[in-house]
Amino acid sequence: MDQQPPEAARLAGLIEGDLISRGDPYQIMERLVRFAAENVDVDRCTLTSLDQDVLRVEASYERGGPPDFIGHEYPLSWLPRQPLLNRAVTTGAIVYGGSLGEGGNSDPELAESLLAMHHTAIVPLSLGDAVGAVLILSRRSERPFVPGELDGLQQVGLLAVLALRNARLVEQVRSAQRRGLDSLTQMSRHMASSLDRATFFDKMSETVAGLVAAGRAGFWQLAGTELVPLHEQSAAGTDPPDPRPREVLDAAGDRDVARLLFSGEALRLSRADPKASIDPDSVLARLGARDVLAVPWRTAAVPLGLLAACDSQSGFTDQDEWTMRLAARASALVWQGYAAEQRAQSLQTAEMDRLEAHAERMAALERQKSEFLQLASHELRAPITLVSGYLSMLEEGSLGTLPTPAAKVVPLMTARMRHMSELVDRMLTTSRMEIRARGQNTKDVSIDALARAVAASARTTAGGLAPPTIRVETPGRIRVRADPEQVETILGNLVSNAVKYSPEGSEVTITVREEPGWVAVDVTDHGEGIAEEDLPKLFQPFGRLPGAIAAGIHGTGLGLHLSIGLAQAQGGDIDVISRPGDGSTFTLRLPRGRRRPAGRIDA
Amino acid sequence: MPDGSLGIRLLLVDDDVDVASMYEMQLAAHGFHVITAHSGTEAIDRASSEYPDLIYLDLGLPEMHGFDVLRTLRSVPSTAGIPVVILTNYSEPELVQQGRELGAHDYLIKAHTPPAALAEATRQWVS
Repeated sequence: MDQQPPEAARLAGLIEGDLISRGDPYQIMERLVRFAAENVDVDRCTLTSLDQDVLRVEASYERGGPPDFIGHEYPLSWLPRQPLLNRAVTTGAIVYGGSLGEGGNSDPELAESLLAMHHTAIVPLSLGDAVGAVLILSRRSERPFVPGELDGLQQVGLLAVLALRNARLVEQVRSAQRRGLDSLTQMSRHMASSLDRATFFDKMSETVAGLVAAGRAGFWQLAGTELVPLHEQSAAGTDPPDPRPREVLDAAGDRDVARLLFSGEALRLSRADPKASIDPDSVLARLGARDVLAVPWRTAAVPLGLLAACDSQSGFTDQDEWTMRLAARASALVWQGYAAEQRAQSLQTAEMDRLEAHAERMAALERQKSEFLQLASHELRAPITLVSGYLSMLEEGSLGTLPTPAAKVVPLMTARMRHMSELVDRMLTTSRMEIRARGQNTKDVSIDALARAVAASARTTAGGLAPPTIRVETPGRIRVRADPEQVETILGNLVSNAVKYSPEGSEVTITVREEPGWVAVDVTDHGEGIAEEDLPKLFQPFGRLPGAIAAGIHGTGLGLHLSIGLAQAQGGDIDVISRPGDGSTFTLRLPRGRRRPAGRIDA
Repeated sequence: MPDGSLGIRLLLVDDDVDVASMYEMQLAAHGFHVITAHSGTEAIDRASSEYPDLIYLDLGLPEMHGFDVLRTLRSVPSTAGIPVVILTNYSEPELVQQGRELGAHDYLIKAHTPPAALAEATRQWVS
């Protein structure tokens, strides 16, 4: 049969064009088998690749029908039972024969179809040393193939092998892209989620094991000259975690490991690897792994350790190394983040501890000062009592008559002693206030709300047949800086006093108002009022008024005494204005804090 | 000087002997019969044997705090009814409050109470 060089040349040109323009390699192969089938007049033509351990139908042409068997795979072990095919693959020469079905194979569909073909020719296609694919041409008719008839196909077939290799590359790139994208997605998901450090590295290890199809993967941390496993994870759903004690690797001892750690080279070991400088068997035996791929785990400046994957499903690839390098880089960033966070936290904690210790020391000193002042003042009162007491007796003459010059100096001494007594009293008050102020819990207090709460509480506790009504007047929300509990105590005392001294059915008014620099609360009752001369006694402990005692009212003097102490401890005070026969007004003043305007412009 | 106070017996409890003598001198001059005690236990002994009409009680006493003395006096029926006035130089409001709760009838600060004033207060008390 004549060759058809022009068609072959045209096809070669087309295929070359396709290859260069990166056309779909499967379409190219399809075109090729159709060309072959039509030009040598066969009923079927298939292009079958031999790849590692599998025969795979890549393209096929069937006269009068759709392409068949594309994608079917047969184990390479099947080859020896196919004498024709085997001879073509081993010799690299075109072989001719009868039906391929005679050799017997495990695919009944294929066997039946092969039996229908009476003549077969197999054209091996090789690029370099090995046969990478075969063209199998079959005829139903009794017309046998003639030697030489197919010679031209071998050249065209080379293009098919190129197309095939191209197809493989495209597939690899696509799957690499897919896996790369998967890796990025999964890794960024771990990085974005706020996991604790241990969980992050567990998840990252698990993800890496899955991405590189390894039995397990894990980070090894460089500690001194040793590598210690950080966390080790099996790929999801494969083996349970390795129960053996974890191996520690000597980083400095193994040259390859050192190169990995410090100059960034990946380490790939499988059993009996001739290229390894270390004995792979011993490392793998120690790791209990079939093979291992390790990449450096490091920040820009510092080696942290390595990321290793063990027991690959089908050998580690460059793509796996790329994936793991990416994972290791990402994990190093995360590690840095955790380290920075930890450092910041420990700095913060240290600073807080320091400040707290300082504050405690200062508070202790203050406390000691106040306590000393209190003690000293008290101790000073004993001699004052004695000296002032005797001086007063000398002055009154109850110790006999003094000579005139002596009698002259006694009032002087009395005056000085009174002055000293006042100083001591002031010291005592100050230190007491300091001690109390330290116990204060100062915050923004809504004094109008507090006044209403006190009023409500007083209403529920007021007894009698017709207790006074309690009214609260306030211009809006008024805030002061004060201890709310103490302010409540003061107001509670003032209001309960007012209620006690109020005639039945009268009214007690609580008025919240502002004065320049102060917030004032007036508590007004319509009781008997207080006589002018009794006013100073009001705030003394036990300083109850004769009228009050006569009326059998208890427990007022001490309340006022305490209240004024509390008010003064907050920088405030209590005043009283009385209208005998028409009641009294007690006013609590507190230094003004911030005020939130409530629809009222401050004058 | 002697007046209607005659026959009134006061127990003055103070560990400061000088201050106690000073007050005793003035009170005696006003006609009161003054018994003194200088410790808590002595105070309880004297109170339960002498049944004074009024007790002036200091707080900072050796062996026993004045409040413990007051508690003991209040717990024994024979002394439970004797009026007690705290006479001390401790002036913390908390102590004043506690004195009131324990049933003291008044609370005086010694440095603010010259002998003549104490005598006058006593006179008013018993009249």
